[in-house]
Parts: sequence; structure tokens; C-alpha cells
Amino acid sequence: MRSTRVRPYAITRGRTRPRHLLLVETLVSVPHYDPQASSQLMPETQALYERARQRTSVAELSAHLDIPLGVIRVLLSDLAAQEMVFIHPTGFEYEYDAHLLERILDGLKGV
Amino acid sequence: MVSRMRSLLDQYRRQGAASLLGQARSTVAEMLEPRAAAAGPLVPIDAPAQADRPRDDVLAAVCAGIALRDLNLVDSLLAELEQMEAEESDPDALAQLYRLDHLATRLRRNAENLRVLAGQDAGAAGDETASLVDVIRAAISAIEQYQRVEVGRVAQLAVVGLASDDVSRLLTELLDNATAQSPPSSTVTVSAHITENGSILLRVEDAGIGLPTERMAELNTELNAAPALDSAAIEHMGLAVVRRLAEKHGVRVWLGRRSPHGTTASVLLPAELVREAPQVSFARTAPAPRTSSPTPRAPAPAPRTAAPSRPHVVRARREVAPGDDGGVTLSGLPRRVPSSLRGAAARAVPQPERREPEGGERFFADLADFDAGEQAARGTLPAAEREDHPSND
Repeated sequence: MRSTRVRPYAITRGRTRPRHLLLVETLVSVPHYDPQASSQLMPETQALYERARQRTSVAELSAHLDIPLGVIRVLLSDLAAQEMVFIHPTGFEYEYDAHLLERILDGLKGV
Repeated sequence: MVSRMRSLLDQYRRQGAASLLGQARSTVAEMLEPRAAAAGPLVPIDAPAQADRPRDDVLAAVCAGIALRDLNLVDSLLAELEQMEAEESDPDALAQLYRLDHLATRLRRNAENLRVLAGQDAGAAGDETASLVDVIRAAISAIEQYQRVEVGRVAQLAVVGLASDDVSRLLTELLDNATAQSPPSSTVTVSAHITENGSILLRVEDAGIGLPTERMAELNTELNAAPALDSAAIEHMGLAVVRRLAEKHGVRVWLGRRSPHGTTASVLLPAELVREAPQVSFARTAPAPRTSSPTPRAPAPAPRTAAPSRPHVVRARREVAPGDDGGVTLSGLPRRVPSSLRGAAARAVPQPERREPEGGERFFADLADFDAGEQAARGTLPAAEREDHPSND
């Protein structure tokens, strides 16, 4: 999509550390699609935004759009900071959620 | 001369490209210095044959040849780095790779500049048009302080493949200069606007202290002069590169004062170099929203009212402002240009600029039209709606 003369560091301004937890399996979606805002985004970010209108995972976005994960994480994090993209909570965060564990236990008892 | 070249080539075989490159550079410098003192400062490359002309040619060819080998190596290096970057998941390691990538990209820029100065094409010109955004970002990629550059408004247009890389290179030198000549904490803004006759005006604005009037006049004269290889090219490589690339593609470059303080470097790309922006790959997933321009500006009313209001907006525009430019824009022009201008107008409101009144007026006209449409939609009852637009829906 982009020429190889546009280097990855130039897309993220050299940033490599996203502000959100974005695993490869993390799901993202667009809560309120705004075409006007979309048209003002940089090409890669815009592609992400358009694609995330249907809930997808970080890994899928990276594969479909051919954007490296390191870049996509930073761009998604930027979009999330502007509340243009919603990052769905991942299983990782629920691992020690007592409430969830209780529900699972209840479910198991019911079986 | 031949023996000298042979020895240079032998040396190349023995020691590799890097040392020879240095050697070649110093030879060029050494050759140019005495002559510059003796025969005036400028030695035009395209001047009619002089006594020692062949020597110039051969040396330039040698330099260009070595630079080409360097370029091939650097390109492989960059491809390798990009592969590693794609597979790296650790932020710190990735940051390190980015630094290497950045160094390699600047190496490539140097090798390309050497080719340009030697009077050759910097690299094989691609045949694909490149969007202005990418041309600008490619230029940003190759400067040292790339983090300081901000991309402002950029028209959604593209540069023909024959010239896109050269325009990037030219812009790189201007951006490098702008970042070097302004405070490290300030940003440098680059923007691209379409002009009335279809050419593109690129602007690189810095917030430095600016140039003294005489120096600016001097630089502008030099920028307009025919490309020449002189000893100054060694120190001011950027200027010489800009001059040569500008001449090659019929691009005009000049410097000007920026309103509070600082310098603006302007680049005018002739209309022949401008193309429609290439279609973006994801466009097919969302074809509708781009064409329906002003509607989405609404602060998201309930979907039930939003949907039927659309036909009203279009209709109200025709009624309220029949011959106005807003109406013409919506119906007549190809959609890419107007959408970029409308976006520009919307963003132009806070910061005053030259072309702004026109764009601002159009924006407000659009807004007024939209408001009128919305009022009409609110005013008419669902019943009237059904009667009014049986064919539209």
C-alpha cells in the first residue's frame, strides 16, 4: 500500500510503546463512525478506522492491511485515546476476576 | 586519467565501497577547489566542452557508479530491517531497530544526493503515482529530526511516478534545512494546497528567527540560477540538490518570510506532475460516506431522524442557494478535489491564511445550507416526508 520510502518510524513518529494493552487477540471496534473524522486521518490510521467498523482483532487488522504489529498498536492506541476506537477487554484482564470465576463455578455446578 | 581511474577501481575491489566513496569525494573537492579560485565560482555542468571536461565527466560517472552500488546495499539493508521490525514485538528492541532504520534511510539519502550532484538520476523512477501524503512522509523519513515535522493540510492528490521520488528528495532537503534552522523545541509544518490552475503549492514553514533580507534574496537568486557544480556544493549540498531536482522537473522553489517569524520554503509543482490520488485499498468497504459530504457533520442525531433528513439536505441546498458555489460543488465537480477543499476550509477557520475567505465562506454556506435542510426536516412531519419524496427514497 505505502511506498517503501515511507519508513515505519515516520508513521508513528518513532513511538513504539502503545498506551493501551493491545495483544494480538485483543478485539477493537468503532463505537460511533464519523466519516468526516475519518477523511482527516493519515492513510494507515484511516484504513484501521474503516476496517475496525466491524469488530476485529489486532492480528487480523495487521494481516489484512499489511501494517506491522508494532505500528498498528501505536496507531490503535492513538485512536483509542481520542475515543474513536473501543478496545474490548481481553481474557487476560478477566483472569483473576473473582466475579467471573464465581459465575463459571456456578455454571459448572449447574451442569 | 585512465590510470587514475584504474587505480581507483582497483582500490574499490580491495577496500570496498565505503572507503572509495570518501576518496572520490575528496578527489572531487580537490579538483574543484583550485579551479573555483582561478576561473570564478561557477562551473556549469552543461557548459560547452572545456579543456579538462572529460576528467569531470569520468569522475562524476565514477561517483555516480559507486553511489549506485551503495544504494543497492542500503536498499537491501532497509528491506532486512523492515522485515525485522515487522517481527519485533518488544517495544525497546523495536525502538532500536527504528534508530538503525533511520540511519540507513539517511545513508540512502546521501548516496542519492551524490548521484544527483553527479548529474545522474538518483534512482530508478517508479511508474506508480504516489499520493502527496506519502511523498511528504517519505521526505520526512529521511531527515534527522523527523519527529519535529508536522503534516498540515494536504490535498488528496498524487504526484506522477516519474517525479514523485525526486519531489520527496527535494522536500527532504528543505525540511532538513527548516529543522536545522529553527529552535529544537519548535515544530516545522509541511502542507500542500492545490492552486487555481491545478498545480500544487507545497510549503515548509519553520519558526526560526528567519533570514536577513539580503541573505534570503541571495538564496532565492541561487535557487533560480542554472544548476552548477561548484565548491559551495560540498558545504551546501542541500541547496545544490534542490536546484538540480527543481530544474529537472520544472519545479519552482523559493524562500519567503513567515508572518510572526521564521521562514517559509515554497515548492510549486506544475500541473503536469499532478494526478488524481490513487484509489485506497479499503475504499470498497465503505463507499457511501465519502460522497455524502455535509450530512455527517451533524453531532450524531438519532438514526431515525438522520436517515430521512438526507434527501432534504440535498433539496434544500438547491432551493436556498441555487447558483451558489456550494451547490455546484456538491453536484458537479469530481469528488476528490472538493472533498479535500472542504476539509481544508473546515480546518482553516482557526488559523488565518491567504485563500481562506473563499474557503471559509464556502464552509459557512455549506453549514447554513445544512442547517436549513435540518430545519426543513424537523419542520416537516413524517406524513409530508412521504409525500414530498416518494421518488427519492
